[in-house]
Amino acid sequence: MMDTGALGKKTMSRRMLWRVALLSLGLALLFSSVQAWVTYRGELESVGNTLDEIRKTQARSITNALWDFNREQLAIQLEGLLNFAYISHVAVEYDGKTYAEAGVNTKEHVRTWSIPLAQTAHSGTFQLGHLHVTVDLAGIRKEAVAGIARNFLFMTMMVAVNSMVLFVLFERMVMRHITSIGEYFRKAASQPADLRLSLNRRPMDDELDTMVDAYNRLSQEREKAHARMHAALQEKEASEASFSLIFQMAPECITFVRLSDSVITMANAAFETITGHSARAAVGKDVHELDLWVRPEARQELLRQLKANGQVKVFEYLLRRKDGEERQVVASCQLVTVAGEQCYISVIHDITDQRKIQTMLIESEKMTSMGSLAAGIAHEINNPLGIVHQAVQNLILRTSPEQKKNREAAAAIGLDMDLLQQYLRSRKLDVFMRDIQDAALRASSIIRNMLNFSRRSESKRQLCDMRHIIEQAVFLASTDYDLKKSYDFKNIEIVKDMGAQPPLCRCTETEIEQVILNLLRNAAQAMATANPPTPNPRIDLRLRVVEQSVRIEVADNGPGMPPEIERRVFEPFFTTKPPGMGTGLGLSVSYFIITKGHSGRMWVTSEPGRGTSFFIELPVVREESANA
Amino acid sequence: MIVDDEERVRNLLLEYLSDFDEFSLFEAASGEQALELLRGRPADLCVVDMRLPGMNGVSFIQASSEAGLCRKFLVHTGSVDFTLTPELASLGLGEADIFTKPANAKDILLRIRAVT
Repeated sequence: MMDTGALGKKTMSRRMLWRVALLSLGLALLFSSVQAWVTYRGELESVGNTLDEIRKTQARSITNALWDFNREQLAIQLEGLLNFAYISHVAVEYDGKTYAEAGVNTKEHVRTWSIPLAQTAHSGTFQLGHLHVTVDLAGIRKEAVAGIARNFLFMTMMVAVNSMVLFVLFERMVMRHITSIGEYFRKAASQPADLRLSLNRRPMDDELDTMVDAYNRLSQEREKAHARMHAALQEKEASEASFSLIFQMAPECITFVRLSDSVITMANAAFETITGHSARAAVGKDVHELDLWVRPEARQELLRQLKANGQVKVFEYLLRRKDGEERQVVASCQLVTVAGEQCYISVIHDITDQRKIQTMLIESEKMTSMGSLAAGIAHEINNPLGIVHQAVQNLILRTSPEQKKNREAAAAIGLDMDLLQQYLRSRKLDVFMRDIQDAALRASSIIRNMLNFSRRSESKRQLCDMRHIIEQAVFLASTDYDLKKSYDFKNIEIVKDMGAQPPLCRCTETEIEQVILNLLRNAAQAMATANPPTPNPRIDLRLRVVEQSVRIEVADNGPGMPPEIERRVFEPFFTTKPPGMGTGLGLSVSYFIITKGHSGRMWVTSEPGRGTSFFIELPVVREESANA
Repeated sequence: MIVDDEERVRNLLLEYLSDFDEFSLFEAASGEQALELLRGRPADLCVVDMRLPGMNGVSFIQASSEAGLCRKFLVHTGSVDFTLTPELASLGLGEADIFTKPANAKDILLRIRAVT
């Protein structure tokens, strides 16, 4: 299969063809020239031989003819000499003059030889004259050139034929295979399929086959190696991709920090969630520069533990967010070597909310158990209290002079009821009895109050506008009149921030009113009894909608509470007020009204010296049920 | 009839009411005992504690009411979270018939006078 287009293209075959042809032509020219020169020399030599022959064979008879002065004979002899090749002119010189001649004397491209004509006689040898033979050199040259032309033509034809044969053979034996190999490589480069290189010929075990075989073996090995490498690479890529995904998606903040200079070398997306700094901005920065540690000495402690153990499983510390907020976090750290540098990986988890919920759960649990404990105690107290109360009522009844039965019984033993009455009064027994009765009633009312909240008075539930309830509570507070009270609402600036119309809540209006009133009274009392009293007492009432709830905040700017009191404010019977000023039930009753009675939430935040805020959250009634 | 498992509670109320000479009073420490006594002598009114050993106050009221042993009942209980249940309401009791210990004896007296 020969590529017919190969001749027209700049192919190796074509280049070779032209080079071989040119070289052969040059050589042919050279050889022809040498041959021509050799021929020319040969012809000249044959002319010499001719002259010798003439000298030997003809000179004698020409001399004889001259000796005899036989002009006719001489003419015949000279004509005969012209038959020798290349001899164009012959002349006989006698006594310095041309005696006879034949042929054409052209004087150009000729060479003349002179042969002495001598006659040998008895008396010696006599020099008669000379025979001048002129040879036509042009003829010799012409003959030689004709030879060159013939040879050259022949050689050229040989060269042409040889070159063509060589071209075709080279094409068939080498070039078409090289072309197909080239084609194979071109294809293999664009589609790396499992192709094997093969030649379109029967196997010959020659250099091409050896090369193809070697190549195939090499490429097989290379393919295997490539496949191994590819698999390894893919595995690596997959592992890297999944690592990167895990790293970025992890809800925990993960950072790599260089040990030598505390620079963050890597941080994931959760870093921003926890610290407020974007991971991109943080990488390359010093931990101290970001001011993440509220107590830098805690970090020193962490590093000390890390260096001692190589890892730290749980390390709790306070982290400062970008906005300055302090969060409780727990970190797990591990020393690692990344790219030859000592680093530590730190997985940080924000436990602030968890802690808060835990505290709230504990609080709620505590409150619930205290509530039921109180209920149980109340129940047990009520019976003896009933006895005390009943007994004192009986006493009062049976010492009363108005009672007919009393008078009868007194008369039977000769006792004057009026005197008895006087005695009771003079010894204040009547007061004691009333005191017992009052104390019993007060105790029972405390218990009643304490346990009232556990009654779910569903029937009194209605849809309420919290703004109205707050207004009502503020009104009640301002008109609240109590001789014992040490505060005056007129001195307190009450700021109401109600916002837009809040959604309605299903609640017992009087109960919520009582809770808010209670909070207002507590705030007023706290500010008034503080030492020194709060200079510009102020209570902020804020109403907000938070998700599915309405949130009421009652915030004062009073003395606040230390944490140990803040933790206990909702406990029953816990009070900071002097004896007689409070029962310690107001807030716990409020707490139960909100949490148990209304499925809401109630909590407190306080900062000593800055004030206290109580929060109430009540679930909002959804539209459809509100309309139902 | 005063039904209460606590003797002193029972006695004190009994003593109080007896001073008025308006009622013939008798007492029982449990619902079962009260039913026993009522079978011998039906009553106009029973003051009943709710928490009793054996049958509770509600069962006693139901039983004695159905047996026609008593017409009217007052509840006198230490259980402050006790409310008027539908069963009690169906037996003709109202809010005014429920007294929580420690109750004002005078109120009980006035209520007894009002309903008998």
